[in-house]
Amino acid sequence: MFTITIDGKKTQVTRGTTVLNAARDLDIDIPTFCDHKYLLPFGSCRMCVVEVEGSDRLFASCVVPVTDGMEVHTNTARVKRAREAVLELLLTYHPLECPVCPQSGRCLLQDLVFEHGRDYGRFGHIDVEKRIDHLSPLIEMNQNRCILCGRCVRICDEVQAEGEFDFTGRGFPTVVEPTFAKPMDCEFCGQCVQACPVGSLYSRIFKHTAPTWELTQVRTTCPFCGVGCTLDLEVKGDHIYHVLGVDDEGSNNNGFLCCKGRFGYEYVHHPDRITEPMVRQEGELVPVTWEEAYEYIAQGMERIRSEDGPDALGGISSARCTNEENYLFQKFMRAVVGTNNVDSIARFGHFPGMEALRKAFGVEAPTNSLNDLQHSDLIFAIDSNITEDDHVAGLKVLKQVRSGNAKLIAANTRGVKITRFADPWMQHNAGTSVALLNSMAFVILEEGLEDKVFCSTRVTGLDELRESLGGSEPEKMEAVTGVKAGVVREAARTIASAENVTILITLGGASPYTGEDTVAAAANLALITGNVGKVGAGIIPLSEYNNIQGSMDMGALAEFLPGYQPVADDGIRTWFEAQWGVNLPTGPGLNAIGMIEAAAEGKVKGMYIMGENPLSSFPDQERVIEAMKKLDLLVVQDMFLTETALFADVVLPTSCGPEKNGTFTNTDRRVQRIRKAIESPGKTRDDWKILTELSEAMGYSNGIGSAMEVLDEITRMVPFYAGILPERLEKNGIHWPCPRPDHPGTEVLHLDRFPSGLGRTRPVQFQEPKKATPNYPYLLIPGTILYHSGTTTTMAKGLNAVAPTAIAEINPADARELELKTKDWVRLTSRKGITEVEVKVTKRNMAGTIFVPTHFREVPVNALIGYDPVKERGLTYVGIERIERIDVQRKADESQASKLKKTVQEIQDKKRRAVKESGPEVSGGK
Amino acid sequence: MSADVTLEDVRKDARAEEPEEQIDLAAVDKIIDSLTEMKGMLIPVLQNVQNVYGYVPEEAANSVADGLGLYRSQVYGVLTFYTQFHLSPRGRHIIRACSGTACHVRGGKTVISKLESKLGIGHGETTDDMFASFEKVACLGACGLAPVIMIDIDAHGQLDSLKAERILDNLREMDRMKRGE
Repeated sequence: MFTITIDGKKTQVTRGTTVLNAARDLDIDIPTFCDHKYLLPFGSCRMCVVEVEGSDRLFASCVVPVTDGMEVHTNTARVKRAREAVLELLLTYHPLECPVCPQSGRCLLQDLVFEHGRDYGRFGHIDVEKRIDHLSPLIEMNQNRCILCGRCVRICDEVQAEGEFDFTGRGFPTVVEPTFAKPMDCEFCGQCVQACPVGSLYSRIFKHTAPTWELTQVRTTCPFCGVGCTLDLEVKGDHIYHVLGVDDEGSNNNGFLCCKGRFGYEYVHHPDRITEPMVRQEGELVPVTWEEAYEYIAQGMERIRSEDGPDALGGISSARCTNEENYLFQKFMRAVVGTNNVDSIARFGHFPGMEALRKAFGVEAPTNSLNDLQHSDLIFAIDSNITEDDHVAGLKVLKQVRSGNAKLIAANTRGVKITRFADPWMQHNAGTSVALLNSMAFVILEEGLEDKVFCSTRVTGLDELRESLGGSEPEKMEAVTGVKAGVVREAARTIASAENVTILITLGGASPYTGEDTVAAAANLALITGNVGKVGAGIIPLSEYNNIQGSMDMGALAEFLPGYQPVADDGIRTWFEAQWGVNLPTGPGLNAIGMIEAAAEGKVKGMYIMGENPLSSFPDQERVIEAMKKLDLLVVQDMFLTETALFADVVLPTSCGPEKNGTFTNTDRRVQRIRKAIESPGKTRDDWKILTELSEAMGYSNGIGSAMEVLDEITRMVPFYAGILPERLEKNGIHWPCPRPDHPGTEVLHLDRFPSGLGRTRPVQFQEPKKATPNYPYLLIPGTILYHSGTTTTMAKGLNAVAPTAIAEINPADARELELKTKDWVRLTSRKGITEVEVKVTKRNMAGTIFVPTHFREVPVNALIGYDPVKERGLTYVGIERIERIDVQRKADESQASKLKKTVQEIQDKKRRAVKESGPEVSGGK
Repeated sequence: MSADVTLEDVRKDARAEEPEEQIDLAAVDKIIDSLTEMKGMLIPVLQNVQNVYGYVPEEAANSVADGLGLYRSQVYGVLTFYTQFHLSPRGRHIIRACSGTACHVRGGKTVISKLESKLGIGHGETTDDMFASFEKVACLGACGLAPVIMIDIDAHGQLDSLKAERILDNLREMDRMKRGE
């Protein structure tokens, strides 16, 4: 420890601390332009100069390490003179055009010029016309205002690993510029925008809309991916103008955001938002009052229930809605409607993966927090395009790997950003990750590299595993996975010898080839190498949905009451019955797949869908359409008139994330607050309110007066949420399990023991992805892209400017064979359906596969995918029969999307005819 | 809110896309292969690339960045920092006119404006027919011959606008003969 005195205040700091940081510890303010908390010291702006006793010259405090006994003065006349000179020099070319600058009001330079009371100084001002980038979407760059502090250049390199721009030229004409002065074409994370101390880089959406000092900040959680970044929405009236990432103790993201979080908020103000409840009358959706809508639903449900029993009704909850809303939704279905037919999109991929974790470790949740990655010395990413699915979590991986603190091994079919940093990158054939993981487990057991102490004290089932792995030698699996046996062996050895290994797997729609089996095989690997139940080691499944974990926790699952308490358990059910004051249905209900099948078969007659769009997100679009058509009563509760809503009998308009209070549970079990920032438009209501009022219309009062009261109830009903009281979430998120109000939350699970005592390894058999026959030569890889999250962000104008349409990716070898080139349009034919899409030829995709993003309504990828209703493993039929080039002109008429429109038209016509024949309809269903 | 500009034509898929080849980049790969045993070889690689093409084409610069594992912007930063690198094709002849003090006082300015008007280009530019590139330089180190210009590697001294014009005419004549026109 070194002692340093700054302006008479004494403090002790560790070796290597800079004078600037020591001053910050003492709350002494030293102005600086180029220094940034998360960047290496740069020492270019010279604003932070200080006087050090015993030395003649001034020192830039951001790059001078403290020496013992150092005495520093930060505010002497000499220091002031030096700083004024820096400002004078900056103002020789920085125009004082503050009235038109979007940074005005929070500009560091502006503040300091005010403080030092100088206008243009002795050197005057030279007006040089530099470039203003009018072409980049989202971010605008005005080089006239740039003070060359280099924060943007360094944050783009050190944090983003993107390197979009660099200092260009030399001397006075130096500018910060993208390569060859092109418009920016990057990840558009906007880290540079937030880092820019002046108004040189700014949001194109924000500029010239509102002065910064009129904006109010509302702290909330980002509603897009599973990371759950903390951000400040900057609002004025009922409009969101700007978004800032928040870096404080409670945030998960160190102030960083991705393009969706920073620029995606425009969907909130989209003119297509529905603002009135609607009921279908004579084939048309007609606006009605809320009371009429409730009445219609209540009567319709009552009728179905009395004719066919409560199990003829079903509900789909939402992985996008809050915990409170998911809780109320399943309570509505169970306690009010009286059925366990309630489920969510988690059924396709995410929940099966979590089941694998429960079978192995005893808890259906990620074992470690994302921040815990900083303790890992090896990160093993399986089929994880973390940069595009969970961007800010990806930054944590990049930081850990690029700083040399951890190695990265990637098993990825597609080349993605992290595979560039992986050593090795095992590019396995699509859908063969289980075979790959099994062969790695085989190597570890064969070479005796397992963690013997861990295996003998905390693991059971090892003998069965050993037996099942016979035949999984990497040499034999080489033909299946396409990864060289030597590489697999080396990777397995690296994992076995590393201290703390974190395994990342992306689950769900973003990664259809990972599911229960992949997670189970990964869990085996973690157990035999002793990489679970300790800090820095575990399995973190990642999701592209913000609250998929929460929706499962809240019991939006056919077989579980809130808190994964089985509905089939009499004791638990009786307790819930006592709490809710109703009789509850026994036995598991139909899950999402079951409900769609039952609806298509006419067994389920009414469905209530909250915040989900099965027509675009569930596999086998054709089957879903069939199901929706057959329903007697379809209630859709959403922000937009989705494809599913087009089939609805009742559409209820809801508020969205920035318009309501509640909590999200992110992909690492962290429960975080969202806060109401603006009023929701028109007659829209919060989901919790709709559910409460509808319950009342159906004769059940749940006694809820606000969203946070629901959280109160949750803490009573879900044991591992018991300590997560609303008031505790004001500052920080809390990782569940948190059983008591004084419990700090649990970042790392299974530290001393697994809930069931021992961790269990389970044999996992590798199954080829179902291409069915050689008739299906291509494998479809549906996935996400960086610039969108679900379909919601396609409602954001700015993001659409960057990624306006779906672009499929195909390998050059396939392209040659099919005579395709970039920008051609193709028709994809699978066993299930047809979709048409633009292609791009790129090496990042393996030969024999075609990647198609899932965000765009015009390109329904789910029309191509089928599922196996018997085995319920989620997406299974992924073979593509034909890829053929089509004329763009021709495509408009024949595409699935236009077919859908036609179908909707037909239904409406039919309904209209039916109404004409039978006379006007009375309210209360058909 | 003018975020509705799309960027279709400049959309990059970073390091994995097949470059749309307009120039033959085989030479670049060869240069990279021969010079990457050591670290810090960016400048020699770029010099060699410039020797092959006469300038550093954009595709070649990007290809160098990808080959050496650097950001494309870093390579661009280096290229723009050093005056020795040129990002656009240069003429068959390089005409450099001195604008140093000695040349200036002895009428260098009229020589320069004569050359500029005769060539129809300004500093740092190249004639459309690729005949010559023109540069004003700070000093050629031959103040005794002021005002002085250099054409390729030959110095021409004690000029006035008439002499300069004649030299330029001769140069064009020679260029024409060489090219067999």
